[in-house]
Amino acid sequence: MFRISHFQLYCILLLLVGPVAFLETPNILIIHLGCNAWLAAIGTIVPGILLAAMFQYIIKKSSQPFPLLLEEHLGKILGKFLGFLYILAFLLASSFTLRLFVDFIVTNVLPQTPISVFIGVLLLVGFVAIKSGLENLARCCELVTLLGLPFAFLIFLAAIIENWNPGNLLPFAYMDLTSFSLGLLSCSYVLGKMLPILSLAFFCPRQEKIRQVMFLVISTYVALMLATTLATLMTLDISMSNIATFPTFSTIRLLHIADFIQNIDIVFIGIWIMGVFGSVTIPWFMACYTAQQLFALKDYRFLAAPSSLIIGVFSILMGKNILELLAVSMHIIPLLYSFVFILLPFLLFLLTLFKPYPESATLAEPGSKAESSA
Amino acid sequence: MRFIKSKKPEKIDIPPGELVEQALSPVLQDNREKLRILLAGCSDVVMRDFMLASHPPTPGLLLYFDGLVDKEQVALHLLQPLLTEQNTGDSSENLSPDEMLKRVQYRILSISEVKTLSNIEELLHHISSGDTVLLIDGCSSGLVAGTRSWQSRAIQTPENEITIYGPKEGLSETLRFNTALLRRRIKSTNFKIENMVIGKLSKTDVALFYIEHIAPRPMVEELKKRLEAIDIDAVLDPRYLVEFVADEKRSIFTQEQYTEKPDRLCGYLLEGRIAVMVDGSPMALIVPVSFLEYLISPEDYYINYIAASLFRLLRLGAFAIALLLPSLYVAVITYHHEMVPTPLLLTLAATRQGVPFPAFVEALLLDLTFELLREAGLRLPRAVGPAVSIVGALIIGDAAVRAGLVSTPMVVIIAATGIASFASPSYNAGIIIRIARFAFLIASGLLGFLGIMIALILLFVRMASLSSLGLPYLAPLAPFNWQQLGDIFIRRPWFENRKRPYLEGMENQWRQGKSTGG
Repeated sequence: MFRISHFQLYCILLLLVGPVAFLETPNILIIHLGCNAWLAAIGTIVPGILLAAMFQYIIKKSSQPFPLLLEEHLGKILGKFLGFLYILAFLLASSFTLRLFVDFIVTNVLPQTPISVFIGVLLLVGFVAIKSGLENLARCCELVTLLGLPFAFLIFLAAIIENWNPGNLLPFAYMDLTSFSLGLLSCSYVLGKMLPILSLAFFCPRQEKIRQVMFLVISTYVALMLATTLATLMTLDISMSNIATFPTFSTIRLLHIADFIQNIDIVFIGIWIMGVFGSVTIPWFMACYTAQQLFALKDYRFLAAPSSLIIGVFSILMGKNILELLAVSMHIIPLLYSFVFILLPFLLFLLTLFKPYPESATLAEPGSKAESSA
Repeated sequence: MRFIKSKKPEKIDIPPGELVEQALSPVLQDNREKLRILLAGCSDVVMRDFMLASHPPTPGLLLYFDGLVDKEQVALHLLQPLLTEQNTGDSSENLSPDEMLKRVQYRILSISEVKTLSNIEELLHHISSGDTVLLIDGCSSGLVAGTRSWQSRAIQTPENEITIYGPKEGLSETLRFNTALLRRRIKSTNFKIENMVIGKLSKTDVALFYIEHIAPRPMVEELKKRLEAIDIDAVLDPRYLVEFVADEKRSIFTQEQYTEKPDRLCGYLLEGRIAVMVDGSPMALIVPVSFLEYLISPEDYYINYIAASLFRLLRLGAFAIALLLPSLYVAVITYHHEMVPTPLLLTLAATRQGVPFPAFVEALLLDLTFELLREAGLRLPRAVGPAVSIVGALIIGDAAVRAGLVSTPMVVIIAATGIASFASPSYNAGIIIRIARFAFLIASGLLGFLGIMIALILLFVRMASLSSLGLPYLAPLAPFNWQQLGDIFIRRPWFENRKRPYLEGMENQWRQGKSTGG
């Protein structure tokens, strides 16, 4: 039976939560909390751990992977309905990530190129990855993480060292509780995207290690947000950060190394594309996989083609320009993701509290449908 | 008295295809007639009649192909004893045919390798392989004597795998010499060499090499199964087999390694890999291999490990340059000028002034020209090949710059790319790089740096989906294995290299005792 390693699971989850948040979250945090934005980034570790514990508990109480566990706990009709809802949610997550990235590229890097070109190219890459199966997708995620993560930390470390200005972080902890809570929520809701763990955990060899994997993902996410926020605050100050649409990239653009390496934002965007590839492809894979499980289909790979059309059209129709998208990103997406990826699993968690542990607690032996198709 | 008297040969009107499958007849004349039909037109076949010095004398026939046998052995250890019937000890009278054959096999012939055969197909295979067949009238079996010896290349230094340190011996075209070269290095009974014959016409001897308990048994069985399933008329080189046994048959990414060096081959075998050699080719095919192993040079293990590690990192850099440098240059010049510091940008702009082509076309033309020169240099006779390459590179490059067709930086970029591509120790990896470079160039011409990254993701997706006999192609990077990665990008010292790279199903992973340490 096919298995994914714990490191592969770590990479998949990190790519789900990291790349998009890295573009948006520091900006939102600075808007809410100013010079203390980095405190909210650190604080995220608490809701993160609670979320991880919740997912872990649901996994323990289920004998089948997501979305079949919905039917197991909620009954056939409600389970199927929610499963269908999740297909749409995954497609939406994929489309939104794709569109946000494409608009960012068109606004900042290649303004003359039509967005359909980028959407088409990225969909092609994702399509190839999904067609080649989960095993291959997991390996690609490993490669992307191995290349991208050290590079991201290196860049922000360089930015912090070059613009070392701790004065920009003062006054320390001068903030009201509402702003801190909003900042914490903005940074934490993204972690709800770890929901595919409910499926992927069943492909992992040892269940007890899944908690560690999720904790590692949360730690890396927090470290990434912290480094990004600190680098942005030190380089741009609060006023400049509030003006810039994407302060993260303004920070990188201002980086000069040895008076020779300059304007490396494009290199960073290049590396970032790989992360975005993961962020687009994994929810897309989850949509196909959920549909396959829900409708008892033989395979999910053939769903990659029709779903690519849905994602493509959906991402084009999502907004007229990047301003609209940013508004959606600020006001609608957090609510939607919180509802689908946090609130619904929380209700499921409450329900499982009153259920006994499944007889076969061997998570390594999931339902045959899950193993046959992956 | 003879049990079976010689009869007159019957007229044979059976088609040759069916004739081959027939058993040997006890009547020598029948066999001779069948062989005459089957070997018609084979001018190099030698059929030597003789009378066995028995009582009464018995007719016999020696059969071999001229040029494939050691004639001295045939004369001294086959013909002479047969004609003089030395060391017989007792009388040959009243012997049954089987007894007669056994007597010849065990008491008369003084050659070391002798065995019996019973059908014509076997007979033909043996004489085609350089053995000598002995048929005796009245016997329904024949004897085959190992007399293989032909003109062959002496053991030489491999031309394509040059090393400064380490053994200089290379494999040769004769399979038996190669088995000896390997057996000399691995003196264990666990070192197995399994033979098979592939090719309906060529009947090529193919040998499978592996070390039992180290090479995973399921992999060995799978490879044997795939080799046995091959139905082809001839096999002249291991590359004929590769396309049958590869996991992914339609791919530009080669999923195997080749070597002409026995020491390197032994190194692979000791890591649980399986080798296939074909009689008539000096190349050994090794499976499974991962892509990153193409960066490893055999010499790494003969020099100081720190130096070897630095050279490996250098090769890794060269690999990246060979793959990406022209496309990065095109992307920067065409789309991302802001990355270049102003003084350098001005210099580049000045050199590009008057060049009629965009950077992408310029790079494409120059790279194609370079590849053309490389191919021409390889195919030309050795005396003029290097001269043409140098003249081509120097004169054409200089002329193109002077004529204003290409810019000087582009010549430097392509030259650096060319040099970097030669740093790869594996010709296979070199081919992949050369082809992928053009894909990256086109991607960068279309979308700049973003195009390069998209092409890179596609490359990752494709490579991650491949495997070599079940071993993931990008292992140990994906799936990630930190332990094994330690001996890929750098060369781990021997005292720390206690375990072999793990392969699924490997029984013995320890290459050193646990007490060994540095």
